[in-house]
Amino acid sequence: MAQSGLPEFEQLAQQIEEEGALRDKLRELRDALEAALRPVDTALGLLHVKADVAPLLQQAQSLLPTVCERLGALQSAVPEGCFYKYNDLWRQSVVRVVQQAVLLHFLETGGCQTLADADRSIDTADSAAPCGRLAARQDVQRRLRGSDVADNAEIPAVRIETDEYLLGVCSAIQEMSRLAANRVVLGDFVTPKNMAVFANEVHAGFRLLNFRNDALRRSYDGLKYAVQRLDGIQYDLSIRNLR
Amino acid sequence: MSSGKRQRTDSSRYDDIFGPVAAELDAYKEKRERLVKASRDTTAAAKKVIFKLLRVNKVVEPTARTLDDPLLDEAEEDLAAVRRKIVDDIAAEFVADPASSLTEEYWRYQPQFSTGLQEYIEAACLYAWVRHSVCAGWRELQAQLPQVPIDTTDYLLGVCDLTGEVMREAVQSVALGNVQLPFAACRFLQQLLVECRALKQTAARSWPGTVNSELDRKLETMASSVVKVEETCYKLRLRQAEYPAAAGAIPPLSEEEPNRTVDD
Repeated sequence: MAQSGLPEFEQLAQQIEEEGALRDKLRELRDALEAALRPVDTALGLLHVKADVAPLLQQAQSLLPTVCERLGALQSAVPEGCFYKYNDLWRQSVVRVVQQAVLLHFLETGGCQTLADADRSIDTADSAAPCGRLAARQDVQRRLRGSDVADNAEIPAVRIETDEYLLGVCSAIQEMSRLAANRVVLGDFVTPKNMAVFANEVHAGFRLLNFRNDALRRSYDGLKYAVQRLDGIQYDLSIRNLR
Repeated sequence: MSSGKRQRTDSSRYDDIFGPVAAELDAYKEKRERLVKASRDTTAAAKKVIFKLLRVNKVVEPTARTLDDPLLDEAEEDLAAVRRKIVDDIAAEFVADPASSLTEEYWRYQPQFSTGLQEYIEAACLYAWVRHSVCAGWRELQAQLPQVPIDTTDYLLGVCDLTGEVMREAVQSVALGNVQLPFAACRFLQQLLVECRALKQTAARSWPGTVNSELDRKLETMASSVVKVEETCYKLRLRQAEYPAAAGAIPPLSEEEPNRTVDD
């Protein structure tokens, strides 16, 4: 640093140094979080090439508590009151987490089952529900904590902002539009159908929102093409009477 | 597909998820709009102070820093009014009651009103320079406005903008016959440029990328402003060497401090 001719800048430089040190630390924690996300992506990525879904889902779910722990460590390293000053650092990571959890939740709540199977395995209370449901934000948080931990356990819930949640949902549907065709290749005609229903219902939900011209709006605009693709796959299957 | 017949899209299936989200997004948008407007109003008010300050130094005498110019006191009052405006229109959005501190939401909306704050900072620094020939420090400005956290980004970006105003003042003053001000302004600006460039390296890891690219842009503008003033001083000095009688008011070389060189 140059010899300071203006003393007013000393304190400023010091403050900026401190902010930089904090940001470096948060970046490290963010990178650790990203490292924990990679194996989840790998497990879910195998859905494109392996017909047997259950072990992949189990594996992905078993990796989520680590993700949760690292996201929690990252968020709790932020000084009180400065959450929004630094959350640009991990926004993309959280969107990815949500995408993974939404996909997982959909598949585990019956997304890869026929309605008849689902009726047998899930309680009849909500039997009218389609196969595969949208994870609400709390569902995502619950999945992250892991199924063996009670809801009221002493683990602070990780923060998922509304826009991060919505971007993650859009991203999950984008992923489904690609996954659906690959499931057909694997001889799985049930999951793509459920995905089409799911995408239409979620898209209907998105239509309730008033968007600004921002990233969310662009994601939403992209959603209709994913829905269209899934509808197209469903059409291809049904005219051939494949189920 | 008789019993397993799917129902076609049921738009109310996820109302419980999207309903609250819709309300939240609307509230965010409205608050954002209010703050954008408050920021624009702050900018306009600060701009007026800046123009007022630029009118201060219009006396043609060679010693022309008229520190008793009533406009200076007016400008000081106007600055206080801008501060009140910032507290009433911006800070008030982030407190439940006046005694409590700001909520963390402050930083969520900060990008929406940071241009207004920067303009205020620019005006406050210009005032300090016109009146006291110094730049107002970050801590000093923060002390004057304790209710609103002044981000380091806003301070530094505000100071970068200050350069343009000082340049205008320096160049203008030559036309008005004050041939001493450009030399003082030149030294001041050269110092500021060194400081801001030095901070740029630190800021690169401390601030988000969008802010850093804005800083890069402003530093370029800043450098070109400094060059304009340097060019003016160069011409004045040349003229003095050529026609000493015509440029008697220019400070003689010996009175100048050793010129700081802008290295790196």
